[in-house]
Amino acid sequence: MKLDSSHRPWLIGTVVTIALAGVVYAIHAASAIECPRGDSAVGLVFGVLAAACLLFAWLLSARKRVLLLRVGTLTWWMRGHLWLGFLALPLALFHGAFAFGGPLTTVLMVLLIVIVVSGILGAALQHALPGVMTAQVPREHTYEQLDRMRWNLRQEAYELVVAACGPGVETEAERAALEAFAGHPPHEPKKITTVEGHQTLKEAYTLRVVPYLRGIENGASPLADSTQAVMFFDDLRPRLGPSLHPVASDLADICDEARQMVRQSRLHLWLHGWLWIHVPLSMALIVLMFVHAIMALYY
Amino acid sequence: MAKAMLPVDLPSRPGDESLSSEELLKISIFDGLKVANLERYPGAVVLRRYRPGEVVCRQGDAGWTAFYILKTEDLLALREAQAAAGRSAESLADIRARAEQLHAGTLAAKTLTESHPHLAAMDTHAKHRKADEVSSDPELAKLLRAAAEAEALRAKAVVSLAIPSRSAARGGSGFWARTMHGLFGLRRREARPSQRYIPIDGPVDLEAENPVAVLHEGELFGEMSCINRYPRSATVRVTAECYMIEMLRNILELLQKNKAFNEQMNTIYRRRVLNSHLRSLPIFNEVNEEFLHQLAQRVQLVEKQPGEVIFEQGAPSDCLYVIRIGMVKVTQKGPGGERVLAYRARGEYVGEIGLMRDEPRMATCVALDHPEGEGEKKRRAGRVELIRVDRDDFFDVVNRFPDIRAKVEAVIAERLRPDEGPAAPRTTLSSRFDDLGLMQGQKLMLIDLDRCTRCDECVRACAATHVDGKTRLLREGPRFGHYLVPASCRQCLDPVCMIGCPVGSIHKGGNGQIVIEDWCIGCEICAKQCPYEAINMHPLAAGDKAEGETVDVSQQAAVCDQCSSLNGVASCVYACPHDAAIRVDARSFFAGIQT
Repeated sequence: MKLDSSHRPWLIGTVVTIALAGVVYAIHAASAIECPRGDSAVGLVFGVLAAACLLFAWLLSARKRVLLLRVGTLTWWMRGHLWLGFLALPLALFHGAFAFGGPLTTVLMVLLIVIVVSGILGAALQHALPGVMTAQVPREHTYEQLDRMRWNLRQEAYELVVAACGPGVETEAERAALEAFAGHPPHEPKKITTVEGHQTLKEAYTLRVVPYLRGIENGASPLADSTQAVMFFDDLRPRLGPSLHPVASDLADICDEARQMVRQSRLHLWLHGWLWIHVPLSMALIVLMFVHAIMALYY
Repeated sequence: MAKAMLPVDLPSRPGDESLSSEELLKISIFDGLKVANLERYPGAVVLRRYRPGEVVCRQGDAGWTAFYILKTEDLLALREAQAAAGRSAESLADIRARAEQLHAGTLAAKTLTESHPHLAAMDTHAKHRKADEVSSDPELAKLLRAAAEAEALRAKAVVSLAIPSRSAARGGSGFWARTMHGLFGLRRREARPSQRYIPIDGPVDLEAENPVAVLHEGELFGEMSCINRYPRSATVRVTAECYMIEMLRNILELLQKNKAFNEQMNTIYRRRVLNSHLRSLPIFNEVNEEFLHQLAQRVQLVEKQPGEVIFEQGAPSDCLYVIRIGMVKVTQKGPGGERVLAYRARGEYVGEIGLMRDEPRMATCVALDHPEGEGEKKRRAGRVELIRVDRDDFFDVVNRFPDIRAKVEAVIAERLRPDEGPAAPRTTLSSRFDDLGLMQGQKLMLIDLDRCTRCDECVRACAATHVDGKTRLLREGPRFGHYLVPASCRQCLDPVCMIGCPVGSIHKGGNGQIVIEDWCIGCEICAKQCPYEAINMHPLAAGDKAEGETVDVSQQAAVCDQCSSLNGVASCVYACPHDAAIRVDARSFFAGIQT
């Protein structure tokens, strides 16, 4: 989520709440005979407030399950999730008087810290990366479609090369792979007139383009880097007849799109990968928080 | 839509008779035609015999012919001529007996029309009931029964429309979906206007709640398929043994130039279409049957070719036009040039503003059919049919019925709204803005890519909001600056998707949203016409089809309706957690932005 001026009321509210809580805690700590405790009246209030903040933050995932329920926009819920989730940490620290306590409360505090830190990291990533993706991936696809789009690129490249150079033993493996994926053979021209440089193009396709598009040597391939890719195709063109230059340009274009897909995948992972830590730990925290509350009240 | 090539000859089936030109001229609709004209198209017309239960055409099938149900009188004339030539195998005595009975019934119906026009307008069952009620007047009861029996004898086929069951909750029938639906009523159907009648390619309109009607002798159907090659708009099943003339477009065009044919068809329209069509119009909902019948006698059916001007801006306002078939483009000249104000479709009316305000026409109205396109998309334009209600008749209606006056005034107020009417703002923006057609977007969906985390909650919300569980939003499309313009209905100022629907199932809803009704036959015309790929074809599961129907409507068009039945913002926007999805009026939103 973009952290812009629309967050100002939440930011002010959070800062003011932390300040007030800090003052209350300081007064409480100063007046306490021993160290302030979580089971004192003030400590309990902090604990309840922290639990309420965490529950509200957790409710975002429940809210997403009922997308059509008109109980506030998801934007509003997301802002609440961010700021109240963050606020839960200082309140929990005040609740426990900056001590982790026994094993259960230690686990709770560690979980909360990891969750808040991962949340801050996630918020920062989601603030910055959408713009990066917009700039770096102009030919963006739906993430779920990326695998299919890669196959489409492979098929497009194959058909381009075969249309220009004709099929051969070099392209047989790729043809078989494409046929196995699509369930039908790729389109091939009936008649080919051999032109100058066709063997060179075929070799470049088989040795460089296909492995890159298949993802075998993503990092190692010169085509993985845009500058090296430009150099590769600039080097290739003079060795081809003029009629094959547009084919080389199209291949360069295909490789560029494949590079954008790789970049998109990577950025997508950064955008959403942290949730693999944040969400399960949040679930565990909520469960353990209830266990802690019940145990504290019972004993 | 399956593209059908015009065959040289009509395909043959058992019981067909190929008639000579001389024999065709014995049939009343061919009166006045020349033998030479008919002989120019050998094989383009055939007499077919149908038995009860046989299906003449099916809803959604490709069609390129029109059908005329032969009248008993025509059959008699034909058989007598054939008998004179020693050809007929059919008993002339039976046909004569039936013709005499029908003649007596026709005379009774004529007398009834003169003496009790509102009773004459009743359907067969109502006439029978009325006859029982007026037993104290034996003469009237006899007339009613004779007319009803003649009508029943002339009834030859039923025309029906398959509408997928409206009550069945489609998409998501699991425990969770059912519970959520029960608790919150989340999934919903699109907001539906109160459309009572469905126009089809025949001489009747079908009631939306029970889309079945009877076809009688002497009626023509399938003209739109024949002229425009639209898919068949309904299924026609024979109920009584009859003969039908099936003809290709060239024959139908010959007939349309024939005065006698046109008069006959006008009479049928007047009797059947106008009654139901006028009644189906929201403005005439309050009018009683008797007045409506009188009105139907006075209005005129007007036919215009695409591109033909119906009335010019500044011309005297002398009538109201109700659109029966086709579209009307409303344009207005102003200081900045000519601009399109609106497109009006079947069932809507034009010319009411000038009448009510007693002013000259404020806009020009032009008859319009779908774009002819190029290459494979090239189509032949069809005609536009209008019902003309003269000024005096119009004021007769609005003065007698204050509710109707209020409704018309409400429509005028709506049409003159600042964002839709002539005062709507104009904005000149970059050429890319024009190239992407963004100026069309009244509720253009935009996704701010600098905010969007690609979480797809918008797509999920869209799918969740529709009862079929299928999304109307694809998060793919062109970029305009840092905005993505996804494939979703943008509520165009110029909604070309509405042009050419053969069954009138696509129209504008009360909030200006595009609505596709349940009786869509899946012909894909709207999807192909939409320049922004915002209309998707969704395959129908077996359970979505109407019970007992064998018709093969395998898919239906689906379009974003801007969640108009939910209060407030569209679900896609409401469900975006990152404030990235917005719906805007593109002209004001992008005003001044050069991208």
